[in-house]
Amino acid sequence: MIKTAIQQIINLSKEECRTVLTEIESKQILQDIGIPVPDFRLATSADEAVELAQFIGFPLAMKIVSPDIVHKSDAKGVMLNIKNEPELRSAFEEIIRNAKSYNPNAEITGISIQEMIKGDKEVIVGMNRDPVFGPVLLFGAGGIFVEVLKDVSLKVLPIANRDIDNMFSEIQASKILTGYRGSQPADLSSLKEIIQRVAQLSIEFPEISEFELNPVIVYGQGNGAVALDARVILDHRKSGVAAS
Amino acid sequence: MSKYDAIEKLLNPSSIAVVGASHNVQKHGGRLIEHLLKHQYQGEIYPVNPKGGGIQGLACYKSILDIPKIPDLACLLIAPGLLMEALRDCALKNIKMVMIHASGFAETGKDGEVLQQEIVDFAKEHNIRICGPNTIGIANVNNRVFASFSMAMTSSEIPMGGGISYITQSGAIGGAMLSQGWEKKIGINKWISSGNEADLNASDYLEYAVDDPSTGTVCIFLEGLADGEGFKAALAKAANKKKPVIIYKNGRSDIGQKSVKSHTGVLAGNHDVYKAVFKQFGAVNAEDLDDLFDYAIAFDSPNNLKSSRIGIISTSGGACTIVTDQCVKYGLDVPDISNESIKKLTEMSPEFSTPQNPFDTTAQILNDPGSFKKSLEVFIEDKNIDALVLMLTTIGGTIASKVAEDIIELSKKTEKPMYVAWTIAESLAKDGMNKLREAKIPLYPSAERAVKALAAVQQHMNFLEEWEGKKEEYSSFFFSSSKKEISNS
Repeated sequence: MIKTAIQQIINLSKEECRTVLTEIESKQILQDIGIPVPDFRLATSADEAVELAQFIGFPLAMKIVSPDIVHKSDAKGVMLNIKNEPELRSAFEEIIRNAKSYNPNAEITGISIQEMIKGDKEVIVGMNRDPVFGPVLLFGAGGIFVEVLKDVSLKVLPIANRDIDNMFSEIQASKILTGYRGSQPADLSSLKEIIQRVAQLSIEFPEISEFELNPVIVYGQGNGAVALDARVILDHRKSGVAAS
Repeated sequence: MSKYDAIEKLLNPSSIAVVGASHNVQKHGGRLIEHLLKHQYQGEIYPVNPKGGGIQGLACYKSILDIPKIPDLACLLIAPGLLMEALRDCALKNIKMVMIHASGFAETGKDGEVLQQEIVDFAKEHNIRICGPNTIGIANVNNRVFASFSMAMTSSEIPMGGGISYITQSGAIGGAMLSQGWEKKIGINKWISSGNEADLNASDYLEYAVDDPSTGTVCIFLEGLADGEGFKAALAKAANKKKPVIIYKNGRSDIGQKSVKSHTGVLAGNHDVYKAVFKQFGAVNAEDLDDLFDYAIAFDSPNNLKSSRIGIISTSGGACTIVTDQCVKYGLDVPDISNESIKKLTEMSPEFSTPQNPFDTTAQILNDPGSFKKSLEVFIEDKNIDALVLMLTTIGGTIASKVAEDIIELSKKTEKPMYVAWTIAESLAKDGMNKLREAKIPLYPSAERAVKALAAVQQHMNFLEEWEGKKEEYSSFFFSSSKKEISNS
């Protein structure tokens, strides 16, 4: 069932000749494999956005959804911490306007309305296919500075429990995860589960060439972790040669 | 024939056909025979050259087909254009292992690639295994097989009885390093230049070395792999057998990588992935080329590191500090010595030296060369100490030989390993240094290199402990085809 649902998303993108999944599609895959994501709904109009906000509750995050816009921030298509209805309505108009001026030909599916998640520990979990060693899993300090900090640990398959523990301890920021100056230790077992699920996904869907969750907000022990953003990149030439 | 048996034939052939044999030792086909003869190869050598007659005192055959027996190995030292014909003859003669030395194949472009593929296909069809093309040969010291035209084979003193196997993808660097290693009395026994790896590849040779009972430590000069799975499986096997594999990997700049769209793609460059694989599978990463043999001699030492509380003895206070700094850098413990040791050292040392770890014997050693041995004995007996770093500074001449003999004598009485950093010019303590090398006591020209090697051994020791905890999970990956489905919704 789960495999079929994910396969359908992949097949659709193939039919539409897309190699980058939308945020909504990516998050659907996360939900399918049991990785927590913030509550999100698609709004196609400002009125619909107001209606959805009732269910999710303020404050909110709003992000453009368009198959033609990969870098949402570059298109000024992301607005955070929306506190009430007037802010919501004006943000809706602004995001659409920004998207159209960024790419006048972009097909705009709508705007995703998401619960605003707060947390101080941001990590990245990723997967990339190496031409020699196959799926490579990445874990590290997350956020927008990942490529500057380069504080990551890499593992290949098979990935044992112990290897994931090593990923946590190998990064420079490891102390921030285990508790530093009174801060609570992070929920490493939730992170571990996320990494295991990404590894499993990489085995079952060879079409997925790059997969990235950044940032993942991790809470204190026992309180889980949430993937705030996901990026899934496909290589359709690899379809139908599943390793499993 | 299994890959293991094929590589066994390559390294330990009972007879060798040398195709393209020559009188002229300036030519590859002449030099290879010269090397075989010089080192008293014990099997039959069959030179092959269409001119026939005699070559370097051996009967020469006009064709492979004329050879009276089936050679275990054929070395094909002929131009690429003549290879297919020679391979057909090998097939007719039922030869199963060939070395192809010629270059000008896949490394040169399309035409070479096509010829290489033709050769591989033909060999596969006739169950012939290939080392190369573009190999400079192999050596198996203990069995006196020096089937290589590398200048390294002309080394005057090649240490016998070694347990190190060395696989190199670069023939030139590999050969040069081999000669340096042998000169330093490093026990490199089996050496393989793998060339273009059209058939047998570095992973195959690694797996062989892991299975080979005469190999204790494996060194690899790696440029790149086509097949990551075979390599991981070979490393997993090495970990199961607790055999250290030390790898220097070149090609570190990720120029011309495929374009990537995510941070992950940028941060997981190919060289980073190699290093991650080494770490995950316990291969010891030689960051610098010097590290490769520095680590090899540390692993090759008969006294194995079991735990890493380090005792430091030096003939200089300054040196004591350098060694201690290095130990701290690598997270090695330099504990206090026991009260008993303090008492013993107080009794025997002059007033101006402090009985502690690190211990400075002071220049007293020049007046009383036996004092170094006495302090070493105290550290060996100390229960707080698991391994020793001895740093000798300007100890030369006859005292050098005496100190070396003392270290060797004591190392035989204890299981605690000793790593010696000796900074005097080699020419001033040559005899002492060579004694240590022959006794397989790891010797380095600096404290940095000694402690770095010790730290590499310690990391591998930690890895083996970690491996116990994960090898079950790994074995199902490598030896079972059933993969579990995503079980959660």
